[in-house]
Amino acid sequence: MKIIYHCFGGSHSSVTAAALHLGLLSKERLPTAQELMALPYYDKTNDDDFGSIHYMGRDEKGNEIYILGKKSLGNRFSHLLMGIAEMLGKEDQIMVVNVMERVNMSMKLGGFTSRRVSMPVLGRPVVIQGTRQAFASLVNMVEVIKIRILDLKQR
Amino acid sequence: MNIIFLGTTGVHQTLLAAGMYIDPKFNRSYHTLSYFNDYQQEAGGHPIYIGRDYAGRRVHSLGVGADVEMVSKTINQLRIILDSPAGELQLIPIMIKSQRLISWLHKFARLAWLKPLSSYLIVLLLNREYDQIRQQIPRLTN
Repeated sequence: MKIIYHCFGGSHSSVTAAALHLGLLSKERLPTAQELMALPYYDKTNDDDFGSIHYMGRDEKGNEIYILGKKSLGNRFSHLLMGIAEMLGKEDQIMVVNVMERVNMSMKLGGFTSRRVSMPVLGRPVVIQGTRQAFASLVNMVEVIKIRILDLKQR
Repeated sequence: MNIIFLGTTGVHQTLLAAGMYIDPKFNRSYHTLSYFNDYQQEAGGHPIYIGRDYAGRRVHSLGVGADVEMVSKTINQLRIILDSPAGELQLIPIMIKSQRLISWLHKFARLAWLKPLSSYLIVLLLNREYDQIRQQIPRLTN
């Protein structure tokens, strides 16, 4: 199965969720700034990355994990991607996860300042702090997704 | 094979283009288009199935918001990730000058009592851009 985590820029929350899914971050403790910055794509994307589906890795069950930045298209983007998968007869091979509902104001402000305004010196500490604040919620979301994947595979 | 006409909304210029493509005799009879200016349908975000063309290809209309190019890129990459051949999906962007204004007027359609006014103004705009839309419809061969 292919799992696509998507958020506004594909640079912070979706990367963190994908890293948790892949075990690149421990869910038992808060990640340090260095650990977050060591993740592929974390606070490193630019405008060309909007709309690009980036491969993050393969989980322990063999699922392929991807991330995607979709700007402000909201949850309708999940419906759009699932609609395309249905059209291609592949809807059982994909799960699309909107991470935006777990994003807090610090992540939005810090991410905007770092990536959109290109001022990482100001934005990066804020988005990292926001990611740490949202971490427990992201852990919970990824655990729910893993249960849903197991559930789907058992049907 | 699937053909998707995509643009800022899926219930106006793209729907019209899909209608023209399926029925070359189609002539500004907007009221015959299912889902025309349908707020609920557009809000769902799913591709809208319109019908089949002369060669049996499934034709859809899709609204993707302001950044049509970005979503086209995503859809093409998704097709590759899902291991579908290129011929399985053809994207046809429909771009017109008044697309932003149409998106804005479409928001009126959320309220049932404003929908007739919204539809009336959108039809006026589409009539002005009718030839521009027609020119963007490719002649596909088998």
